[in-house]
Parts: sequence; structure tokens; C-alpha cells
Amino acid sequence: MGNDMRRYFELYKALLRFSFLRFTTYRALFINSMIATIGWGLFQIIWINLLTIRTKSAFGWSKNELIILAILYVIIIGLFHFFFTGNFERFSVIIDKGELDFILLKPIDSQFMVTNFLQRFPNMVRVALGIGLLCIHLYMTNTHISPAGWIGFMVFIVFGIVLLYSLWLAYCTLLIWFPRLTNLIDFLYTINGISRYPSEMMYEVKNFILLFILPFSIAIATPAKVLVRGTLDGEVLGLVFLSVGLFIATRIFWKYALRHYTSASS
Amino acid sequence: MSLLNIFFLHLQQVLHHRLRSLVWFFIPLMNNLTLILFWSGALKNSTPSANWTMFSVTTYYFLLTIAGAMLSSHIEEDIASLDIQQGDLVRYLVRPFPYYWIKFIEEVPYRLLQGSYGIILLILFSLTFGNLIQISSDPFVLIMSVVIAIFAYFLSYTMKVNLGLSAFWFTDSRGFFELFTIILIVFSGGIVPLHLLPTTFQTLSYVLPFAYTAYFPIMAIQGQLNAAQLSQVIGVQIVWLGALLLLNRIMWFRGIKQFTAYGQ
Repeated sequence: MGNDMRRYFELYKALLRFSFLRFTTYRALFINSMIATIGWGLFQIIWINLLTIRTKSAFGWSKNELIILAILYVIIIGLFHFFFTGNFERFSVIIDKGELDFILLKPIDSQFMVTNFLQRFPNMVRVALGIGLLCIHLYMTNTHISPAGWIGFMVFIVFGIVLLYSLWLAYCTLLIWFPRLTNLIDFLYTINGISRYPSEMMYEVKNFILLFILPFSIAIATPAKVLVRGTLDGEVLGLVFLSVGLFIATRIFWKYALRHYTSASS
Repeated sequence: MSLLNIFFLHLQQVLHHRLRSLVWFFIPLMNNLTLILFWSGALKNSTPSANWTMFSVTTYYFLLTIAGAMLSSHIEEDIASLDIQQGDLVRYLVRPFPYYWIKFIEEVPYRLLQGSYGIILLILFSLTFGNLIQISSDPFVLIMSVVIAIFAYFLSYTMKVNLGLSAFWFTDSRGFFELFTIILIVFSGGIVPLHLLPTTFQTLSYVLPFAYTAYFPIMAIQGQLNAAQLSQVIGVQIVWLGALLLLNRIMWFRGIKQFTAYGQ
């Protein structure tokens, strides 16, 4: 077990190095990725400022809290994109072109290899931009955050990212059955956008759709609430249970889907 | 006749991948439904406004979904990656049709299919929720709206073709494309209608071409513009279309000199 962990850790280090080299080797890719990532980071701030131009609050969140939520979205989604989204995008291509066979033949866990192969370094710029904007906003609005709020936020970010990872993996695993549906990834990017809104808003959807959208929403809104309000309510427990439960469930689903994978030749 | 045959061939291909098109349609739909949901809570604590009620919110974002599906072209990635960077342009150069028009014919079936998804949704929504969608019943306004919508599509298409042609000079344009998308969303009324924004922002939006691809077609079909304003919108669309077509010709003739294709 210990040896296995060390082996995976060493492999992850090598993959990180590989991703960094790939990012710095192609200059056009480097510059373009930086422009795009900063652009989308700034867009979130423009978006919330335009949306709240005529409103003081929504769903119990003040305008100030909504802006903080949008900034935290920039940070958390930046981290999520850094670690995982490049891999999910690559996964849709791998399945479509029948390249999963090569990964399954490697003496390494296939889920690890599929979802951790690539890291998108430009997104660290988005994370840094988000942190900078958060500091400026908190200073300008004189918002005080308690130490417990900061610590809670750091802890629950991890659960939020695990939850997003599990949701993306669950949806992407469907590509094993529907390989032509590569634009499912674009749809996931859109659903991710739901996490920019207060989770209370999702309870307004009083039907089965709530089951699909609520997990995306609490992934970011819950750590944001812990940071801004410093309170641990029922939603925190929901986030913890949902992220751990879904992580286990998607692992089982992945294994099940692989049994139905018919390889490139079929 | 040949162009019509090409159109039907592409239509067949698009219909073959109709599930993919449905997913593309769901993307703006999802965004706009979320915005409707947000406003349902935000309007309770907003500055009262006669032209921004739950009624107008629902109409605006539903029409925005249809406009996004039907009038917004997405040809730039295809032109930049497949045609220019991978060299598929060669097969268009040897055909007896202008590149601008053949790409237009390739794109139209996608817009028709996605637009039809939007219209089906609008009909279903209207039947379920009654008259929550406000559309003008004046025949003159409807005819003018159709003209504005056609020009809106041509504007969007020409803008995206020009964007795609920039690949003649750039090895990787994705960052540039994404920045363009952000500007387009903000200035075309993709977040909130432009009339709700501060005056400076509105003035800037009305000068730029983006509002004429989505915001004004929506305002027109809702009956929010009088005859003079409808004509003015068409006039501005023609001016922008002329400028973009001129740019298109310059980019094409200069770019084609940069293009090289290899093979045996």
C-alpha cells in the first residue's frame, strides 16, 4: 500500500513536470491560454456586477456576498480546471478515437491515468487573479473574515473540488456508451456555471431537475458561505456526505462502465 | 441548383448528428434558464422598473436562447482549425464556389435545426404557461423583425468568418476567440438587456456591432421598437455588414497568399 502510494506520487510528479513542459514549450499556446484564462476570470466579475446592477440582494445573499461568491468561483474553478478539466476534455477524444485501449493496458489504475494525466498551468494565473481580487474586494468593502471562516473555507474547498470531480467523472463515463457525444464536456462547463449562484436559488426548482443541479451549486456556495458567514449549517454536512458518497459511487460506476467498453475495433 | 444540393447534403449530415445539436442547444438554454431563476429571486429586492418585470425577464431570456441557437454562427473554429491549420482549405480552393458562400451553406443547416429546437421549446412553453412570452402581433413589426434577424445572422456569420480567417496569421487563436466570445456576450445583451445598463455602457453597445446580432432582434420581435427605430437598426446592420464584408475581402486576399499546402 505504502509503495503503491509512493509510486503514484512519483508518477504524479512526473506528470506535473510533463504538463509544465508542454505548457512552456508551445509559446502560442502559452500566450493564448493565459489570455483566455485571465479573460474568463475577469468575465465572472463583470458578469456579477452587471447582474446585480439593479438589485440589492437575491435569495438571502447581499450584493457584496454575491460578488464574493463570484470571486470564489474564479478561485475554485481555477483550481478544478488546473487539476482536472483538461483530462476530461482529453477523455472525450480518447474514447472517440478508441485510444482508451492503450491506457487500459498500462500497469496503473485507469481512472487515475485518465483523470490526472494533464494539468493546465494557465489556470493557476486565474487562481492568483481570484485571490488578488478577493483581497482587494474584502479591503475595499471593509469585510472582516474570521480565522475560523478562512480555515473552514480551505477545508471545504477540497470537498467542493472532490464533488465537482465526481460529477464530471460520472457524466464523462457515459461517453463509454455514447462516444460521439463529445460536446458533453461543453455542456458540463455550462452546468458548472450554476455554482456561481446561491444554492438557495436551486431549491426554487421544485422537481427532479433539482437532483442534477443542486450538487453543482453546493460545491462552491457552501465553502463561500463558510468563509463569508463563518457558520457551519446543514449544507456543510450535505457537502461532505455528497462528495465522499459520490466519489465512491463514481468509482464503482467507472469500473462497471469499463466492463462494457468494447474497445476501438468494435 | 448545385448550392441547393450541397445544402441538402449538409442538412443530412446535421440530422445524422441531431443529438449532438440538441446538446449544443441545451448549453445556452441552461444558462438562460438559470438567469430566469436568478431574477425570480433578485426582482423581489430590485429597484422597481416598468420594463423589467418577471414577464419581460422570461420573454427576454427565452428569445435570447432562440436567437443564440438560430442567429449565432460558430464557424470560426472550423475555419481556423480544420481549414487553415489542418489544410482542408485546399479542397475548397479547387471548387467553383466562393469560400464565403460554401461555408455559409455548411453552417445554415445547424442553425435551422437548433433554431427549430428553440421554436419547439417556445411553443411548448407557451402552451404550458399561457401568455408568459410577449411577442408582437403587428404584421409590419414581424416582417421587419424577420429582416433584422436575417441581417443579424449575416453579421454574426461574417464576424465569425473573419475571426476564423485570422488563423492565416496566428498559429493558435483560441485565446483570441475566447476573448471575442466574452466581449460578444457582454455587449450583445447576453447577461442582462442593454437598456438596463448605465448610459455610457449602452452608448458603447449601440455603436459596436454585437448588439445587432441578438439584443435588437429580440427587442424588435417583442415590439419594443417603433418603425423609425426598426429602420435605424436595419441601417446600422447594413453599415456594419458592409464594413465586415470589406474586411473579409481584405483578409481573404491577403491571407490566401500566406497559406501553403503540401502533398503528393
